[in-house]
Amino acid sequence: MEVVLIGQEGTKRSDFFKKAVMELGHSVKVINWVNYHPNHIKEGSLIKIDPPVYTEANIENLKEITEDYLKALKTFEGISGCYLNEPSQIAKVLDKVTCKQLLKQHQIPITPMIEEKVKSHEELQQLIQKNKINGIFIKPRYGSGAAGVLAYRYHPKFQKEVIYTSMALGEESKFYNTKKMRRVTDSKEIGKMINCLLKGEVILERWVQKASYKGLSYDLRVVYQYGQIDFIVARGSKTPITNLHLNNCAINKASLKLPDELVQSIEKLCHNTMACFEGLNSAGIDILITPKGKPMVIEVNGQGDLIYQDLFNENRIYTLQMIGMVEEYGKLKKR
Amino acid sequence: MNSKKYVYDYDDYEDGSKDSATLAVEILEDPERMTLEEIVVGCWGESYDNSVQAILDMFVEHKEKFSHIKSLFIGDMDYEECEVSWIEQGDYTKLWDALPNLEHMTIKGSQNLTLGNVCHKNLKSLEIICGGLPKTVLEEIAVSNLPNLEKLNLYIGIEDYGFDGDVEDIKKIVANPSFKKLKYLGLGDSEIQDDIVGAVIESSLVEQLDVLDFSNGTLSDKGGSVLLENKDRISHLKMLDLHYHFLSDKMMNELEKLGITIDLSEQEENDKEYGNYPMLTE
Repeated sequence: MEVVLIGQEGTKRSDFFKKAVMELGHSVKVINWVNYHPNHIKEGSLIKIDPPVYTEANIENLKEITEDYLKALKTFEGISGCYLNEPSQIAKVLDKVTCKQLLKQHQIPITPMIEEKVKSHEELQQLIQKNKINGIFIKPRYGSGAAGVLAYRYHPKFQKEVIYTSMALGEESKFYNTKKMRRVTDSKEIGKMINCLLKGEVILERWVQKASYKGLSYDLRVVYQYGQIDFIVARGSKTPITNLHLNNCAINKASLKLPDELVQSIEKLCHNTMACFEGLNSAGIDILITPKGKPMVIEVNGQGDLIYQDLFNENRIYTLQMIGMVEEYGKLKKR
Repeated sequence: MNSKKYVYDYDDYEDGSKDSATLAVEILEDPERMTLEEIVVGCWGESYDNSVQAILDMFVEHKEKFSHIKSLFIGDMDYEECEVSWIEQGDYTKLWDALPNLEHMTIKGSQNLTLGNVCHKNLKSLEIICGGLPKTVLEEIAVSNLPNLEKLNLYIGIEDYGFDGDVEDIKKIVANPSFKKLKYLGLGDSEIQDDIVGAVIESSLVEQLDVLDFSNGTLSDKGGSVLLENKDRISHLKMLDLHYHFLSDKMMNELEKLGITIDLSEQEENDKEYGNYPMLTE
């Protein structure tokens, strides 16, 4: 039984996955994306696919990067094995629009997507005014993390607007992703950023307010694997974008004292969400809890398993991934 | 204190049918109302698009049902629900007479805020949290009659978000003769924080205070120096709150030697590109 990780040697993802696999008495072959070829994988292997590592922080390259990755995922067609996550499902959840549409069809509570297309800052303002929208998240349709994400508010009566984003204007008026959140109120800069994002394919979502804890808004990253919640980290922020690498902070889940009923609702929500993606056994599901305690899915991350709070403690997520894959492999062998 | 918060979240007002008028009715018809000592009013729907006036008017119209209330917080919402500077506040003129047992009033947001003639014999604390407090409101506070007021905490803010006064307005507030029982004075979150320190430190009001709060503003070494130069005037303080500031390390060290309890947390870096801003603006 060969265990294969397609990823990048020397990253935390590969190091800690290897550690988990070895502690269970197995070894893992790491194939770097740059060297990857379908012929490198034996039929019937246990296969985990990590996302490629990108050094490029330029947001305008996101589309190209994503297209390359989708092409690479397609090359796994015809490689049979026991996948942690089927490449076709990784590709499916990489597309935020398709993902949300699927969840909506299955009546999964989600942060609402705005279906209307807009192509400019001005059109966005008109949309907000017409529909009386409190705020909008604009995200690249493909991609993960907070690259190219901005939260936007517009007040038609006062002609005031504000965005919260980690984007910044770089050389040659190109936008790039920084690791720091900022608030921008200058209309010219806001217009430039929004027009830049709207040139590409985006998903627009209504800004739904999150519950708060000690002055921080928070949401949950739930790592759900093989039918159970394996880890929850609450991500607190003074801004609307809670990704932990943006100077936000992890809140100990126990501190939130989530009522049992809410935890059960979250479990059910995750179970129903994963049921929409056959072949996806591990996902980082971002869940918003409203101030009144209603959970809804923000997005599904097919490779959302890199959680430092677990890595440097029990390394439970990767351990359970390997256990899950071995069990699945056993079931496949019996058939 | 038995307290209850009334609030709408996204699900409540998504279809546009809920606003401050409907929340006013819900508060009025709540069977728990008589057991409460404190009422907290949170997001009332699209709080940037409809004012809180319906709720304030409801308290006045049915004052006999709320005369037992000791504490009110109007506008308890964070930026997730509504940018603070976008909260549509209201006219509080008639509220003071309507709620004779009120001891604590907290208001968040200053858009279209009017306090009116503020005369209240039982009010112990008044706090206004906003990104810019208009001159008209500062004047109303300057001429208010609040003989039992123990705490006054005002977020002064910046010009871009409604502060159109100046340091003279601050001087008038600290000269209010009715503030005989004031123990906590907070005049913070200001872009003219250094000037405010200068105006306040000279006033006789400082002598009776336990707590002086200049937090959340753009306090720099200029304001810090004024505090050092007047150390005898503040040596009696139980607390000098300067958290969120732009003081240098050297100035912080000097202030720590004052021998009074001082909060110097949240030292901010000078922003050479965009300039220094108070903690709460938008």
